[in-house]
Amino acid sequence: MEYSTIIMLVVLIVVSSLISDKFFTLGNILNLLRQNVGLVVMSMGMLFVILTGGIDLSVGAMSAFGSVIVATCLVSFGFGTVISIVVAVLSGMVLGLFTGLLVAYVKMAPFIATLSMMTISRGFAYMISNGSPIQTPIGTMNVIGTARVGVFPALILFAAVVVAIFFIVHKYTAFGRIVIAVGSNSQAVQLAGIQIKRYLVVVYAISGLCAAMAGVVSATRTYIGSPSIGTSMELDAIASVVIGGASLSGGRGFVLRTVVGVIILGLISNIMNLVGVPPYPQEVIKGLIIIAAVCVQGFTKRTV
Amino acid sequence: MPENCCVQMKNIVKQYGGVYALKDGCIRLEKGQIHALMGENGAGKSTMMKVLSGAIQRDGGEIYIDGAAVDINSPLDSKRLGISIVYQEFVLAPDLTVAENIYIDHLTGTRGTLINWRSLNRKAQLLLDSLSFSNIKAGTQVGRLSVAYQQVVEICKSLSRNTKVLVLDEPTAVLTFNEIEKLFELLETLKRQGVCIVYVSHRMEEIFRICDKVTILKDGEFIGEHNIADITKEQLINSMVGRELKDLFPRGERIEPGGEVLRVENLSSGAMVNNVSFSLREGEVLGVYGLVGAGRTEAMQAVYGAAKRDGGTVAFRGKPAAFKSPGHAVRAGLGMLPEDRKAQGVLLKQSIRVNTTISRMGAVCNTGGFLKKRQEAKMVRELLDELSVRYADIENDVSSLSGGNQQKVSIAKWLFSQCSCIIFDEPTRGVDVGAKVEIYKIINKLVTQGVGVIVISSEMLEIIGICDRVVVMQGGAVTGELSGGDITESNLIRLAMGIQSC
Repeated sequence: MEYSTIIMLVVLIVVSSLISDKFFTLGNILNLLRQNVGLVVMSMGMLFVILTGGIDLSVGAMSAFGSVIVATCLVSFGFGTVISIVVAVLSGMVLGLFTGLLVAYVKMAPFIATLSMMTISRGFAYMISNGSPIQTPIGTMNVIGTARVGVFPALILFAAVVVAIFFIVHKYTAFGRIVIAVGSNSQAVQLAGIQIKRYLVVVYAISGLCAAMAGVVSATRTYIGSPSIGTSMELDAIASVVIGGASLSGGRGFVLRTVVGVIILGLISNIMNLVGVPPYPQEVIKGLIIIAAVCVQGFTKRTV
Repeated sequence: MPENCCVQMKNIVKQYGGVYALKDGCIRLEKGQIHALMGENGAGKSTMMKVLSGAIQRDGGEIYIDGAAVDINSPLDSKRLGISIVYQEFVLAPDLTVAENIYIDHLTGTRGTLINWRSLNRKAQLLLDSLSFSNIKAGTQVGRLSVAYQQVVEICKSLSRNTKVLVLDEPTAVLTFNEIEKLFELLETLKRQGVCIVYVSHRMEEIFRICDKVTILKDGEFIGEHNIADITKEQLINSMVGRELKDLFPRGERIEPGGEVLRVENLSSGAMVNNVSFSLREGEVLGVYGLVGAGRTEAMQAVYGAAKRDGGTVAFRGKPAAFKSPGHAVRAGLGMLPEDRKAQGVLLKQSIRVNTTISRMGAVCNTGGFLKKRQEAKMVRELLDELSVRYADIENDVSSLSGGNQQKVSIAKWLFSQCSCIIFDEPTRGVDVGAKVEIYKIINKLVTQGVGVIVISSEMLEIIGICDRVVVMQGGAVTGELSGGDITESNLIRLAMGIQSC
């Protein structure tokens, strides 16, 4: 009953393999996965926010912020690679924490709070980078970006670890359960004695952390920190979460199926590139496929 | 078929995936009569009324309106046939005005594309005045009206359409004394106008007061139709459940009350609570009675930390307890079962398992916050069996349970949290006779274990039946306290209306 997402993926894989013989090659598949590591990480944070019935529009801008911070730490402060990454990720978490405080304590609508944070983060990214990309030194980001474990790029394994963590938290921890319950009926959860404000703050902090991490991932692939990356990436993250069966009103969502949602989105772009569809029509087709995917989700939910 | 018969439903069948909600539903309605429809939850009453109102389609059987066989496939069909239904959960738009709600499906009248506001408001006010509810103004936002007045608006919605048959589902569940009287006057007026009224209710006293006939359903089948004048309450209950009247309010063995659990002094909170003082001891059932608007729920919410306290003191187990949020209260050992079960008491779309353990998750997690699912399942199943909850699987959503069983899961949550004091706000509202008795037994068991129990209730018989002491509230303050033999209907009413008792 809950296999609609996977079935969609399988259908797309089959169709893509038939359309192009360059599709089902190890090189292409690994490339496809590697390109979407950032989006996978970002979508995990987005999933938890959506589970509480909220939304985070700032994650694209925060990934730019993260990439700029890591590059600045490496170049301007001369910090080591690890420390720079930690600083970038924590900075994203701090911004996310601020968003969470706005949503939980000031009781702002998440749409507005995160919309404002989107502009603020983007502004910070431009301020810190002075508007231009920052080249990271050789031996820092490029090492991570090209590292491999056997045939698998390290980045893909990193994404797998992140997904595993979120999966376990979602299914097997009290925190995960309460996050879902809050989205299901926050009033009832509050009356049951749970301090929901804390959970809301944490969830947005996690989203900020994941978004900044996505920015760091981008830096490991392009070797630059850029204030202009990630525009409308939040929409891809939201689309992935929804294709993965989540309800935008909260209380329902799935980790693994969100990852499948990311892959479906990536696959659509991938196959259109292989076939040579020009970039502008690609956007139209991608949007139509998202509509179709969500309709299939909605249809299967109703028959269950 | 008698001359007067306007609606007849014969052998109605409705099944949901192999389970029969109705096997043989029958009812015969006559013009100008108030006809009670009784049966336990799960007997098929709501299903049958939903078939009549077009909300669901029948799988078998026939419906006759004024002698002609009809097919009711949608709410529109039934509205055209003159059938209206007022559900327990109102379908009003709270942000719209009374007039807009009453005429929601014919706002522009019979002609024209624009709304004539003056005429709309005038028509609505006329309708309200004709029913002696002129204090409801047509221009008021419905969300600001009390629940009782919202119900009047719902009924007006039906009346604005030339209704022949009006079905009321548990209409007095949210009303109190004065409002019930006004509702009965309204129903008598409608009866005289020739409307046929179907009164679906569990409240025996009311049915015997205003109804002419009663139809009984049990397990989806028609059991019998009787004239109210020809049957006794005992006979009615026996044909519904086979239980005797005296077992309706089991008190069990009450122990001697122990130490003080809760002491509230001069509590005030917002506009609704002015000066409330009471105390509760271990092993006691304290009732809180009052008319709607007395501030009972608001007072208890202030004690529980769900509403802001403006003044007064609360002491829990001897220690000052200014609970700032329900979380603090629960940690100290105080729990509260809210009035609105579906919106506040349970998480409808979450599983029975999640609902039962949510207030004390520490008991089913290890130190890392990881759930011990197998142990949790065991504890949940034991607790549910102890409370005689009828369920299929603890992973099913709570929405799959009947009202009575949902309420028991809500209670299970507090039992799981090992509270030393539980406040029940209308614990048996919308619950059938069988489950009510089971809930009273649960309360008995709790007090024998030394738990302090507060029961807010609008049902006098319930208060008299299960409470050891009662505080009565009016206008946000406690007007008096009764205990033992003093808990009588007349004392309760006099205190609730502010008349001093001697």
